[in-house]
Amino acid sequence: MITFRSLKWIGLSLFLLLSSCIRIDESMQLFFPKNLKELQFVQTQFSAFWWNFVIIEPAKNQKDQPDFKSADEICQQLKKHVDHELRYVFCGSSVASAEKILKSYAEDIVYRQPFVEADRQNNLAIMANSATQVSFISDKSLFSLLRYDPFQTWQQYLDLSKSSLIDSFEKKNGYLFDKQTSRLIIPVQFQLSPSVKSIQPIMDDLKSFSSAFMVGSHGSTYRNEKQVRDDLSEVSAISIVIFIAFLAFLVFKSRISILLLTIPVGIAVGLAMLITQWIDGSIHGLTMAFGSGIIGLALDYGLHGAFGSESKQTWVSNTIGLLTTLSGVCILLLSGIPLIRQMMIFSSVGLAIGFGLFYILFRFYGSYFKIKDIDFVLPQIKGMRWVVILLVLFGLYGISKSEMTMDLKKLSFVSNQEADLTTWFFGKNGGGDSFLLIKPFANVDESTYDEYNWAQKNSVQYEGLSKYIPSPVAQSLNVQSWKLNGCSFFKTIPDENIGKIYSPFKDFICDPNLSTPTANFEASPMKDKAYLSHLVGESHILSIFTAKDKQQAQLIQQEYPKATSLTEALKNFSIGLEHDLTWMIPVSLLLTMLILALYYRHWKPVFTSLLPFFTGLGLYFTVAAVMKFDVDLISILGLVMVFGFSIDYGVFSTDVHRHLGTEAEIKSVYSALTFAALTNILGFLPMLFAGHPVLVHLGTALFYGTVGTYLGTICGVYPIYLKGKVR
Amino acid sequence: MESHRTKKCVYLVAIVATLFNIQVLAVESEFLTPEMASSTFKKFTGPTLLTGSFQQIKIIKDIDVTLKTSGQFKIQKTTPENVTIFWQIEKPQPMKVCITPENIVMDNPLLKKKTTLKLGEISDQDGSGLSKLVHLLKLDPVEITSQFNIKLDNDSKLKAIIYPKQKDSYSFVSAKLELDGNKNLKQINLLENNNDTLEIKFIKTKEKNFKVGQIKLEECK
Repeated sequence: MITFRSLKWIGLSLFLLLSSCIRIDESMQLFFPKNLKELQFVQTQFSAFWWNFVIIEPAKNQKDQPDFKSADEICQQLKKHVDHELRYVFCGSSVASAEKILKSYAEDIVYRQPFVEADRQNNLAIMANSATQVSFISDKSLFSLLRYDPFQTWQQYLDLSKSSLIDSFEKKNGYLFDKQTSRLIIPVQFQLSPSVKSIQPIMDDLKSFSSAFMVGSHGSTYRNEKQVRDDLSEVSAISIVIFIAFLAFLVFKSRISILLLTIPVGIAVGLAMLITQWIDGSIHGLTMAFGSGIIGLALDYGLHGAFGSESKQTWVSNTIGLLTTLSGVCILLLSGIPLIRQMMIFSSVGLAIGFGLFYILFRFYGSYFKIKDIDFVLPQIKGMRWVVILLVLFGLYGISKSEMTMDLKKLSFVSNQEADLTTWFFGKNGGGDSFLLIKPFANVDESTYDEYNWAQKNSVQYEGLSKYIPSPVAQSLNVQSWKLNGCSFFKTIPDENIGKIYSPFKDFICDPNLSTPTANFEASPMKDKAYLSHLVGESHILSIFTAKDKQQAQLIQQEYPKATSLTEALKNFSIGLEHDLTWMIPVSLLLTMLILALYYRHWKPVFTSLLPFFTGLGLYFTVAAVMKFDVDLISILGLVMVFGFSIDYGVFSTDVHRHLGTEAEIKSVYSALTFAALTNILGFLPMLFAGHPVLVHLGTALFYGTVGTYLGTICGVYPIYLKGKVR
Repeated sequence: MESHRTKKCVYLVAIVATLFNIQVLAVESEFLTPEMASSTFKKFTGPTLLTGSFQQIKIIKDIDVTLKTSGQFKIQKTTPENVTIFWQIEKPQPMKVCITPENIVMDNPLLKKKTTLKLGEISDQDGSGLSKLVHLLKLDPVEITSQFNIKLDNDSKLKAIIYPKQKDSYSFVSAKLELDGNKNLKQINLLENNNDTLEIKFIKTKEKNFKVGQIKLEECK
C-alpha cells in the first residue's frame, strides 16, 4: 500500500511534470468566433493595421500654438527606432522615411508600363528635365532616390497612396496639423503586430513628453498590458499580505493541514491542461487563468469532506454540487466563442478530476485529511432576513432586467485621455465602412488585378494590389520591353552627366537577374516589395474597399461576397454573444433546478439550495448598479463561477438540515462553508483594487457574489431550517 | 591659507571670463550687425520688378557631374516679405519654377504635370535646397540678418560670405554673395553640406520700381 506521505510527493511531482509539458497560447485567435477570426488575422498579418499616431498637444502656456519644439524632439527620438521597432516615421524633414517605398515603386516602373522605343527623344527630354530638378536638390536621400526615378514616378505614388484620414489634416513644418486644436500628429508604422516588447522602447522615449500620446492598436495594447501588469503586481502584493495573515490564522487555529487539500486541486488543473491540450493542440493563457479558478471550486468538496468526514451525506451532497456546477459550465460549451468553449472543457474536466481525486483520497486516506471544526461562523443578526429577501428580489430583478453589454471595446483599458483622443482622431476619417477581402497567395488570380478597375468604375475607395501593379501577364510583357530596349537605351544616353545620374537605374534594369513575375504569387517578387508590404502578409493578400454609403456597401457585397465588414462583424459578434447568453443562462438554471428537483422532490430544499445563488446575484447587481458597471462578458464568466459554488453552498447547507444532522455535523458543514467563503473572499478582494476593467469586473462579480452567497447561506438557509434558533 | 586660495580662484575665473568675453566680442565683430546689414543690403523703398537672365552650374562631387542650366528670371517684390520668383528654364529643357512665400510650383511641360511644394508643410530642418534659397534671393536685410551671420569681403563692400546661424536648418555651409552696382544680386555660390556646389549668375538685371498698389504679386499656378 502506498503511504500517504509518498502519495503527497507523487502528487506534487506529477503536477510539476504536467505543467512543464503544457504549450501555452497567448494569441487572440481563440478569442474570436469563426467570422471574426479573419478580422483578427488581418490585424496580426498586415502592416496596413500597424499604423499608430503620436498626437502632440499644444504647449500649456500657448494653447493656440502648435508645439513644434516638442514635436521636433519627439521626431528625432522616433527616427532612432526606424529599422528596429519602427518601419516608418513620417515627420520633420525630407523623404528619408519613405525612401524605401518610393525607391521600390520607382524601380517597378519596369513592371507597370512598357518601355516604348519610339519615345526615345521624349524620354531623353524628360530625363534632362528631371536632372534640372536634381540641381536644386541638396538632400542626400532625396537625391539618391531620384537617381532610381528618371521619369519622376514618385509623384504618381504619392497621388495613389493618398488617405482620407491623413488628408483631413493640414501639413505644417513636416507634421500633420489640426487647425482647430493646434495638435500636431506624427504617423509611425511598427515593424511587427502589437506586443509590449516592440512598443516598450518607444513608450520609454515618449514618457518624457507629457504632451505626447500615441493612439492606435500598438499604443492601446501597450497601455492594456501595462495596466494588467501594474494591477497584478499590486494585487500580488495585497494577496501576499492576505495569504500570510491566512497562514497565521491556520497556524493559530492548528489547521495548517488544510493546505494539503490544494495538492489534488493542483493535480486536477495539470491533468485538465493535458486533456485540453490534447483536444485543442494548445491551451490559452486566459483559459488557465479563469478555468483554474473554476477547478479551484473542487476545493469546496475537499473542505466539505475534511470538515464532514464523519457524515455519509457529505459525498452525496458533493455529487449534487458537482452535477449542478457542471450543468452551468456545460451549457456554455455551446458558446460561439472558441475561448469560452475551451475554458469550459478545461473547467469541467478539471472539476470532475478534482472531485474524483478527493473522493478517492477521502475514501482511502480520509483520516489524514480530517479537520476539526472551527467555531468561526457569522453570528445571526436581527433583521438580516430582510436583507436576504431584498437581495433575492434584486437578484431576480437583475437577472430579468439587467442589460448585458458584449461590446469587446469595453474590455479594453482606456483612459479618458485615450478615449477622447482616439474618438477625435479616427473621427476625422469620415466614418466609411471598410470591407476587407483576404485571399491566400494561391487564390491570387487575374480577377484580383481587376479590383482597382471595378472600384474606379463604381467610385469606390480602394486599397489593394491592383491599384499599384498590373496582372503578371502584363508585368511580364512590360519587363521584357525594358530588358530588350530599355537597357540599351540607358547604355547609350548621349549626355554623359545624365547617364551618370541615372546609372543606378540603368544597373537595375540591365541586371540579367531582373526577375520576371509569375502567376504564382508565392514565387512572385511582388510579395517582397516595400510599397506593397502593407497589403501582403505571410500567406495572404489584403484588399480594402471602403463604402461611403449603404448603396456602395451593397455593391461591394454583391461583387465581392467574401469581403468582410469590420464594423458589421464586430456588431454581429456582440449580438451573437448576447443571443447565446440569453438562452444559455435560463437553460442552465432550469437544468440545475431539474437536477435539484429530481434529487429533493420537494420545493423547499430546491428553493433553499438556490437561495445563496440569488443572494449572491442580488448583491452583485446592487453593487454593479451603484458603481455603474455594465454586465459584460467578464462579469458573466465571474457569475458562472459564483453559480458553481453558490449552489454547492446551498446544497451542502440544505442537506445537513434536511437529513437531520447532529449539532456537530451542522457545525462542521457551516465551518467548511465559512472556510471556503473566507478563502474566496480573501482571494478575490485584491482584484477590486485593480485598474483594468477586466480584473475589476471579474473581481466585483466574484467578491460580491461570494459575500452575497455566504449571507444567503448563513442568514437565509440556516434560519429557514432552524426556525429562529440562534447558534 | 584658505582665503588666499579662494582669492586666487576668483582672479583666475575673472581672467578666463575676461578672455572669453574678448574672444566673443572679436568673433562677433567679424559679422555685420542688423544696422550694418541694412546699409549694405538694399532697403525696401517700394514695389519692385527685377528681370534678367541667369546661368546656373551645379557640381555633384560624388559622381563627378556638372549640370548647367540657363534661362530667364523675374523677381516681384511688393513688400520686404512678399516676393514671387519666376525661374523660366530654357536649357537643357524648358521648365518653369515659381516660388512664393507659400509655395514652390514646378511646371514640367514634358511630364504634363505640375509639382506643388507648400513651404509651410516643409520642416525647418528640411534641407532640400530650393526652399532655403528663397531666403537669400529676397535679400531682405531684416530676414537675412536674423537667419545668417554675414561677413563682408575685405576688398569690396559688394561681396559677402554668409553662414547659416542654425547649421542643421540649412543644407549649405556657406554662401558667397556678390551684388551689382544697384545692390541687386549678381552671383551666389553655395557650398553645400555634402561638398556639392551651386553657382547662380544673374545677368543683365533690370530694375523697375512702382508705386504702392501699382503691381500685384503674381500667383504660382
